[in-house]
Amino acid sequence: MVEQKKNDRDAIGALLDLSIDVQQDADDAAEELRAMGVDVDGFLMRVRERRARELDEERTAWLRVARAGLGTESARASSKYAEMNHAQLVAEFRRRPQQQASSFFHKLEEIKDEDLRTLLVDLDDLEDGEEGAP
Amino acid sequence: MGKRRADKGIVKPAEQDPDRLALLLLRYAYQYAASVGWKVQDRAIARGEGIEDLVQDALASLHGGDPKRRWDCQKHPDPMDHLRSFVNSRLSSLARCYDRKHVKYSVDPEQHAVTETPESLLMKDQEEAWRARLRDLVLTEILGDNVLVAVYDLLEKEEVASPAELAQRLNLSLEDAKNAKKRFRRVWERAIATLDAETPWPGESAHG
Repeated sequence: MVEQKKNDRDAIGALLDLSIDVQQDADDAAEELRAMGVDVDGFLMRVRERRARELDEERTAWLRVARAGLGTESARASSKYAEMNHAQLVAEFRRRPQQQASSFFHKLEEIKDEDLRTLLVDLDDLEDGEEGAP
Repeated sequence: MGKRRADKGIVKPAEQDPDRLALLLLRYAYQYAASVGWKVQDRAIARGEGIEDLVQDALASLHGGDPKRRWDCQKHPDPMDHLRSFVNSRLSSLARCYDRKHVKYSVDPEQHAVTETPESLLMKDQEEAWRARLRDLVLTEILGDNVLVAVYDLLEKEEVASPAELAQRLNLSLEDAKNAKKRFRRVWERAIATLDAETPWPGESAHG
């Protein structure tokens, strides 16, 4: 007879194990879940939303990788010039072989440091492109 | 030709109804969690706390997610086998975490005895009380059902592997054995709900 015995086999645990359902009936599962108070429709909605989000992330993964690479490259180049003062930036610019570029800037001293840095990064990119050209 | 034959048994998730997989897995996860939670005396696991997140992670592993836990269709041609294995593994990890928070092992390798802190003792007491109360509630409900009493008495003495074996041992039809199993599941759910109403969880209030 059922009564509380401390050292007996764990019949409740055994019953729980036995009642684990591996049957493949989704309607039964939905009914049982609802009886347990689970918001089945809400759950399915969240599953679909997560899948849609993941698909979206998969589709745009290449763009993220490309953007990250681009950011790293620019950051690396600009960090080269970040520590330079105005005079050093001007000297660096004059040292560059792209003479035609300098002709547009008669008064290099008047250009802001930030613009000079951008210009130098652009020239670096241009040089990299020429080196990679056949 | 050979490749085609080897791929024959693989059921791609896209070919499965994703809602169906999700529902079957959620029900399985709640049922398995109840069993694990009962055995390690962890009310949160038994109650199914966080089960939906776990199921969502499992479903994501069919298409991507952590490479270590990703679905290997050669190993598990049926995605449901992979999903159940994912849930079992995560619940086992949770149960191990539970053991660690309860028992503090001595740093002295010579001393193998475990050290219990006042906090872990208090927690252990609370969860033993929870389990005793849950057992009372389940047994009280079972007492009104002759078939469930017979099932309980049998399981207290012997191991039974399946509803078919249960039916055979108790001279029941397979249908009766399966129905008894379903009734027990409802008894369990009611007991958990009663317990939650008696001692609400943080942020929840007792009903009535």
